Amino acid sequence: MDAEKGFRMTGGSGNTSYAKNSSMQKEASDMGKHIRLETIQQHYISTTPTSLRIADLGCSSGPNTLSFIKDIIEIVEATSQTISRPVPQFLICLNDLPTNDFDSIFKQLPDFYEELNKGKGEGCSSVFVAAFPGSFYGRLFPNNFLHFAHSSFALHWLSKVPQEIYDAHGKSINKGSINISEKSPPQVCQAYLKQYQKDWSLFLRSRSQELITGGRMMLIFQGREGPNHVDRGSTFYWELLARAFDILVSQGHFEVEKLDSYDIHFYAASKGEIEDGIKKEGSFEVDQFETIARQFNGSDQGPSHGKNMAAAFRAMLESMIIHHFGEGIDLDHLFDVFAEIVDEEIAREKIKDIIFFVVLRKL
Amino acid sequence: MEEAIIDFYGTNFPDRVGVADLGCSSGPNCLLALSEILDTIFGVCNNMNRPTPEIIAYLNDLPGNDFNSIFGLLPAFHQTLKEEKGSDFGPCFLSGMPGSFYGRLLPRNTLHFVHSSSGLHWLSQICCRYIVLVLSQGVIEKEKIDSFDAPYYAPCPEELETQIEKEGSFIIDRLEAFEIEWDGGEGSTFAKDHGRKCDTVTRGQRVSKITRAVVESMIESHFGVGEDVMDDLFRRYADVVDNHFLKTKATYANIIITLTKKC
Repeated sequence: MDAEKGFRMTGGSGNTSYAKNSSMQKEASDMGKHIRLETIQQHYISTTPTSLRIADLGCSSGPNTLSFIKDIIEIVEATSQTISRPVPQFLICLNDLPTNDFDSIFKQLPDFYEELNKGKGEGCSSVFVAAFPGSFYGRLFPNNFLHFAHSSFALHWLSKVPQEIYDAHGKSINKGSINISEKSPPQVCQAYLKQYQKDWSLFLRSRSQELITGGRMMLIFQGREGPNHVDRGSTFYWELLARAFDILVSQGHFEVEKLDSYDIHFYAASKGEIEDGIKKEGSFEVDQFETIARQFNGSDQGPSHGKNMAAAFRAMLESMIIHHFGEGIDLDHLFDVFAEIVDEEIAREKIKDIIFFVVLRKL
Repeated sequence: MEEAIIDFYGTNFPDRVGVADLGCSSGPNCLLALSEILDTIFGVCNNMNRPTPEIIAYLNDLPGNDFNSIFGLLPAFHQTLKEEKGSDFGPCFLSGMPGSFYGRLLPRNTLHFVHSSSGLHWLSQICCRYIVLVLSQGVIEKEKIDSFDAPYYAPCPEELETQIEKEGSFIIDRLEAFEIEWDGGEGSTFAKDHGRKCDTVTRGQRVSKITRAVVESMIESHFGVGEDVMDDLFRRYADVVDNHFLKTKATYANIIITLTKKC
């Protein structure tokens, strides 16, 4: 499936929207907040531009992107005061696929600006927000346009499911799985790696033309610890979701062929694979590379971890699942089953979610 | 438009050009103005035998505008650009810029060319009179009607000139006024004579649809009426307008003005 056409986080602000179910991503992003703020502060002090152009790549809809913008503006304002420079004008360039629900972010902007400027009177910052829809696997901005690019929880999504997992008859060789799993033939792993390398290279090349020399990029995304994909890490949740689909097949909700032909365009890269790509492309130096392992246990209070993951996954995948399985699929049931499976697994043994925080500097 | 673009591009040949369409709205026509701007830049560059600059386009309207539908059109728009002009054109980067143009939208010195087409301000002012007339025939309280004011103003050319000179940042290159019929001038003499066509949309119905698309949200917000009342309102409004067409020519004035920012 070509991600550009059918992939989007669930828009709006309803119960199953990404806006209401993206706290997992926010929590992870906040773990790197200090890195983000230091990076932008250092860059600003060394260049003090009168106009700062900042991009959020894969901004989605929901409150996380506005929260990120607020943090950036506040740190630059505070830094400007410290070094006695006038606050720059900000052009915030939001990016996501054309199918993203940008309207729900835009509708929040009047209140957002009011909040930013509360109590500042004449000293209001000039903040301008625009959306540049398109795939970040390719050019989005003019040459030397950006000072800072940020991306949180977007780069583990590939541009598409790799073509090489389909045989000569167009059937997926990854039967019974929806991503790299124990059951996947070795060619599946190689195909995903090849697609990742292509996408990562294109992402870096595009950004290298768009960032000014010395510009910074901060990227937060899921990855894996070791060379092995089959571990109880980020990719493991796809195995658990595949099991949930399998149960629905056995209950007669749809044919097994539908599951066999469904694959997710997700890839958890290793540190080595990421660094290889950066070295090969050659335009960036790694300023920082941090790894955080989030361990999930069962929870005694509030909704279970399974229920939380189910809500988060549904907000991410609903549009794609409907696109593949049709409107008739019982999503409530699918994600109830998924939640139960996740809770059972968590009770047996922890699941570890690896998150990378990578800061690059354009040479 | 061609003159204005030749003027700014033809002397400086910037590598990157910022263009904006203010009040772009949504729907299938929302990219028309931008298309024309890009076509003109392409034509001017071809004639001067120069490569096209990088173009960054800002499509602006209020935050409540339906930007999602505009963005949905962009992949096909890019494809058409590539097919018509080849891959050497541009590149062209398109963005949506929400905000009121009565205020700042972009950082300083971002734009080379600004376009805005809001002729409907004229249309709506005249039609609002008829809408109020139709409302008053219905079951709306008088106080609600009395307190309804549409935020439109139709300046005459002299008023425009005075304001531009007063603000002081721009020189007027061209100022022209022309008339256009309420329904865009597609009406036939049959419709004018008879007021109705047998099996196609009447002129009044056309005007009613155009007006509804613009003022419906305002009426809904002020009067709190439901869809049934709205349908009835605009059905009767179409009749009123058809009758108006029988008695007189119905046009409104459009002004085109091109300005150059002083150094």
